[in-house]
Amino acid sequence: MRVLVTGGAGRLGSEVVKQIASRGDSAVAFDLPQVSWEAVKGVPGVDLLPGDVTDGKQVSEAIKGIDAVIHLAALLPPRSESNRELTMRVNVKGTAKIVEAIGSTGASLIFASSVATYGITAMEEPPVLTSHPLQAHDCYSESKIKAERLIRDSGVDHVTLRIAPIAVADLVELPETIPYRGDQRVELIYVEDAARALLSALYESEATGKTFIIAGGPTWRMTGAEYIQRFYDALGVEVEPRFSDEYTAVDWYDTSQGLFLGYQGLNFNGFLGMLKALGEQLGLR
Amino acid sequence: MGESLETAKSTLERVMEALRGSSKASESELRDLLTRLQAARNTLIQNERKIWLRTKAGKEMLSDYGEASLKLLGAVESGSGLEEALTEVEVQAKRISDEIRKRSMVVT
Repeated sequence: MRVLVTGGAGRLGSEVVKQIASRGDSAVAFDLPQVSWEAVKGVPGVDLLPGDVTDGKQVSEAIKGIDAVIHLAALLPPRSESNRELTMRVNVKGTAKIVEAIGSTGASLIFASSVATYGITAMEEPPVLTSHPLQAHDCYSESKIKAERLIRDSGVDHVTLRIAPIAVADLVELPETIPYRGDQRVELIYVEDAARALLSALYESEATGKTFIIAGGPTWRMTGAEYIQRFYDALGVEVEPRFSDEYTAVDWYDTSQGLFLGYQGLNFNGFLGMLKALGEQLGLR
Repeated sequence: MGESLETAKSTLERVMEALRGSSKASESELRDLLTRLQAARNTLIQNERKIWLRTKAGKEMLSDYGEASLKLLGAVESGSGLEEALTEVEVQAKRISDEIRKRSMVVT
C-alpha cells in the first residue's frame, strides 16, 4: 500500500510516515517546502514530496499511484486565529483539493479533525461523547467542522478522527499563557498513540465511514494545572505557569467507540517516565 | 546559566560602548552595527527564562555565545576582524532562537 500523508514532515506526520514504513508499506510525506524535513529525511520507505495542499495541480500530482491519504495538513492555533481567510484556505479549501484529487481513484481518506470541534464543554457533565453536537468557537474549529462536512458529503471512503491535543515526550517551552485554565479538565494523547490511531483507521475496514474521538484514556484525565505540574516536575524543571483565564476546547472524552483501533499504548505514568529519562539526559534532573 | 547569560549580556554592552566611542566607523556604519548587535542581544533577553538554556546543550550554546561576544569585543578594541566576529555572534544568537522556537507548545 502507498499512503500520502499531508503535513507529513510535522510532529504527528513524521511519526505517521515512520509507522507506515515500519509496517512495510510505503509513505509519501507531503508538506510545505519551507518546513523542517529533518524528522523524515533518509527514513527507508518514505518519499519526500514538497508541496502545498492549496495548490490543486500539486495535489493531483501527489495523489497519482496512491492507495490512501492521511490528511493532517492544517493551520493550527494560535496561528489559525490571526488570519481567518488563510485558515479557511488551508484547512477547508485544502481539504477540498484533496477530496477532488481523490475523486474516482478509489483511494480512501483518513482525516485528522480535532476535539476542538465540540466547542467549550467545561461547564457540561464529562465525558464528551462522539455524538456531542459540534460547535465552532474559533477559526480553527470552524474550519475543521467545515472540512468534516465536505468530506462526508463527497462520497469518498473516509474515516474521521477527532484528535485531542498532542503530548510529546520532549522539552516543550512553557508558553506565555497555557492554552487552558488550571482547573479545567484536560485529556491529551501521546503523539505515537495518535499516529497509531490514524494507521489503525486506515487498516481496519470496520472503521470506514465512521467518526472517532482519539484521546489518551483514563490515565490521561486530570486538570490543566495537574498536567503542567506533573510534566515539568518529571523533566526536573520548576515553572511558574500562567493559565488561560477562559475555558478552552479541551475536556475528558469517551473514547470507548474507538478502542478496537487499539491505539492507547502509553499510560500517563509511562509518559512521565520518558520525561524523567529525558530530564536526566538533558542535565535538568 | 544565570551567570554566563549575564556575562554575555554585559560583554555585548561593553561592545556597544566601545563601538560608540570608536572614530573608525562612519555614522551610518555605526548605526547598522549597533542595530545588528542589539538584535543579537535581544535574542538573549527574550529567551533568558527559557528552559532550554538550563539544559547541558543550552548552557553550551550560551557559552559559545559568550565566547563569540568576547571575540567581538577584542575585534572592536583592536579594530580588525569586526565583521567576521559580529557575524559569529549573530550565528550563535540564531542557534539559540531556532532551538527554542522548535520547542514551542502546539495545540491541535
